[in-house]
Amino acid sequence: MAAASRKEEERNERIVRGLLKLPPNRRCINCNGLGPQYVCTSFWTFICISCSGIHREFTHRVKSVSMSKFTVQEVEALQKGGNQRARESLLKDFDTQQMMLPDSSNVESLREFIRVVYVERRYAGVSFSERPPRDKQIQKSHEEEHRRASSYHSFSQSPPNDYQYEESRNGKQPVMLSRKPGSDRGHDGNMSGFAYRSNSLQERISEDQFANETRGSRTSDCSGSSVSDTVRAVPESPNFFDNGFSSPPVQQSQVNMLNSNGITQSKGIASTGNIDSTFLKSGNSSLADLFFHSDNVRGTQESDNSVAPSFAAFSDSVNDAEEGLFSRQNLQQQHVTGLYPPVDFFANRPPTTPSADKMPLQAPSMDNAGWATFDTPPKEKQPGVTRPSLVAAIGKQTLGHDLFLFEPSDRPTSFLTSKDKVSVSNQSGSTSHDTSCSQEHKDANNYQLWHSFDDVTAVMTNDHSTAGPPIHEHQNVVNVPLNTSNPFTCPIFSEESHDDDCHKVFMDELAPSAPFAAFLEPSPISTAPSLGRTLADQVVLNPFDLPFDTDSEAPGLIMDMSTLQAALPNLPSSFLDGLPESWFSNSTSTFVPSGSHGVLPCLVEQAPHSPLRNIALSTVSTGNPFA
Amino acid sequence: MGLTFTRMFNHLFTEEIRILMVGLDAAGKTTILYKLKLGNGEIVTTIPTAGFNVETVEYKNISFTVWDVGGQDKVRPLWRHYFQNTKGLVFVVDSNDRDRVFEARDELHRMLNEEELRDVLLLVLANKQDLPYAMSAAEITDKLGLHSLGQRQWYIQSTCATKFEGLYEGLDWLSSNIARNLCSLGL
Repeated sequence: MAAASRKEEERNERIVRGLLKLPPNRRCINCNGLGPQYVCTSFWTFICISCSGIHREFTHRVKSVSMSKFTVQEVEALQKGGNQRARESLLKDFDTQQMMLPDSSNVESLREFIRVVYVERRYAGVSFSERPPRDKQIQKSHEEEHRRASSYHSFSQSPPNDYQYEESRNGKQPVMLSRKPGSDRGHDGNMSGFAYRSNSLQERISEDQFANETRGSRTSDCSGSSVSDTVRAVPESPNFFDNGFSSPPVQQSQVNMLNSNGITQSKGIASTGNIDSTFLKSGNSSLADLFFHSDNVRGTQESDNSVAPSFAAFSDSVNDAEEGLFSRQNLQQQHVTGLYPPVDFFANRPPTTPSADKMPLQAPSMDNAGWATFDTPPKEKQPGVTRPSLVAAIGKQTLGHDLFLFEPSDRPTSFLTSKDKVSVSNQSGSTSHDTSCSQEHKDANNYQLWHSFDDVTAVMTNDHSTAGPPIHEHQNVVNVPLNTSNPFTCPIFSEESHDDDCHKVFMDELAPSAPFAAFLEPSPISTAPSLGRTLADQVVLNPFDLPFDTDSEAPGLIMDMSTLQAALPNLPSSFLDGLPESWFSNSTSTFVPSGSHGVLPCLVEQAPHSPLRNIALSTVSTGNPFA
Repeated sequence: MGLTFTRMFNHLFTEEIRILMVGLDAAGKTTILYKLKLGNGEIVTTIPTAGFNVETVEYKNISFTVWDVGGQDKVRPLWRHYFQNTKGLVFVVDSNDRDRVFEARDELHRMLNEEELRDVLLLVLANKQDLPYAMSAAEITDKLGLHSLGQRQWYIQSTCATKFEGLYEGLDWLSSNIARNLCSLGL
């Protein structure tokens, strides 16, 4: 009996701890504090320690997860409850945009909040008239949570998640990621698990950094979030020296890989974390997912080598792995990938450069839309989102770095694989060889390209499609890896194809959003060149490269494009039923119209120079998000 | 010799008494402890105690060293580590928690069966009397089975820690009876 009861206790505790890891339960329902360790058994919510004290003042039952035993009934009630459901009922009418959740350090506001919410139940409204605001604001967060929750559920069962989770917390996650991709990449489930881990990391990071802000920023105005995003974006910029944010794990891996790069990468990670956090507000998980998805895509691409196959693989893998949980995110990612190709096309094709210029303008809008899509229909994204998109772009860059970084240990292998993949990949391989003058540079470029592409894709996911030709373009882009790395600098640095320039351009583009520019200016330019190289090295080294070798190198670029393209077709299917094919065929043309918004002149100038083009594309992509 | 005499003298007049305060979680132990320590003016917001809190409370020339041990079920097995040298056991009950009063009874009786607590005074605090559906001290006496304790000296005091009601009454009983115990033991 004793043994049986103990087993049951252990089982119940395991369940409760599993519930604690559900995204909605990772934060205190009242103060949004990280890592609640208490359960309010009066409302079946997960709360932090300070909120537990306040709840007790109101004679609400509180149990510690670690110090209490949970009965089967309690576990069942918790499973049926949780923060998400409690929020849906008790905070139904809580306007997160206008009202901030109390800060855990302010006992008075916490007490008042709990009194109003749980005692007076002021926000447990029933009237439907208040729904619209909810839909816009609160529902988003709900959706996010739902997605995350669902995603978590999907992966929660796999033991590795917990491990990763812990590792991420301890800063070991990068290592884990690097290892796992290599061994498990072939499996969709592993991929998804991987993605999930990354998300958790990002979330962790973002949470750590913005624990107090995230909630408010999410629900609060877009502008507020955008500001935070911009700030976060700063870390993303190549000059991440100042970032204390960078997640330790990433930094470690990066440091191991490349000394200088380690810093930048760490920043990139930090930025990703920021992005995630921002996305959390509107679709936090979506960004992280995108990044990871892109990684997954890369992995799939690597396996496929050829762009087209990669497309198929990408879509399949993404769909399979992400189905259910990341369906939206996948779609978005796919869109992003589709967007990438268009960008490349424009960059490569001078005539298209104008379009590319347009593209940047569109890209911002697109990015916004893409971002919006995460939470809601892509195009619905508000203007305020634009900054986030920039941030997202930056984050993507950083993500790309991160991804590569994750693979640092595999450098040699990655090189080999990348080369092999290059050969395997049709055009991308050739281009990569051409540019092979410095594979590292290419890798770095690829990184940047990836970043830019990610950004672009995110921005352009809505409209753009990638065509077969893009592969060549991609190759060009690969040749201009440096340029691509500097996508943001495209207009300004049209003449210059250096990472620094790119950074500058990026800064300039970002200029509209003053904070971004300021942040970018200091670090990116100086560090950019070294970073680029280091990044390239890292890319080669990155564990991800092994599976995704093509990604790191020119083939990888192609692969990215292909993945993007694949994503586009997939996206259309999911988002736009018939669009994908048309997009491919009209990729450039479509891109132009979409991109005709603002940065055209710069792009045109750059267009002649493949690097510049790439930059323009990247900038476009970045510009889009920011625009 | 002089030193020993001084010690005995001090022992009599500034008694140090070790008190162990236990009870189910959320009974109000920590609140009672800090109300006693800080006085009535302070609003005490407590969190579930992990481990213990210990404070010395001076009352009527007696220095009570009150050990407040977490009451969550997983840490209850740790209570026994605080039994040694305990002169008084304060058992705090949430008078409003009718669902768990029998759980409290079981915990109480399990503890009192420990050899180390054989001569310990038992003070039951029927806390949270301010709540509308709080059980009375008599009801709790019944449900805790205090009448079946036989030889043990026990006392039940209804309290409301947040309003600082009944706390000193409880200490009064403790101090007087502990002093009597000590005298009876020839100390």
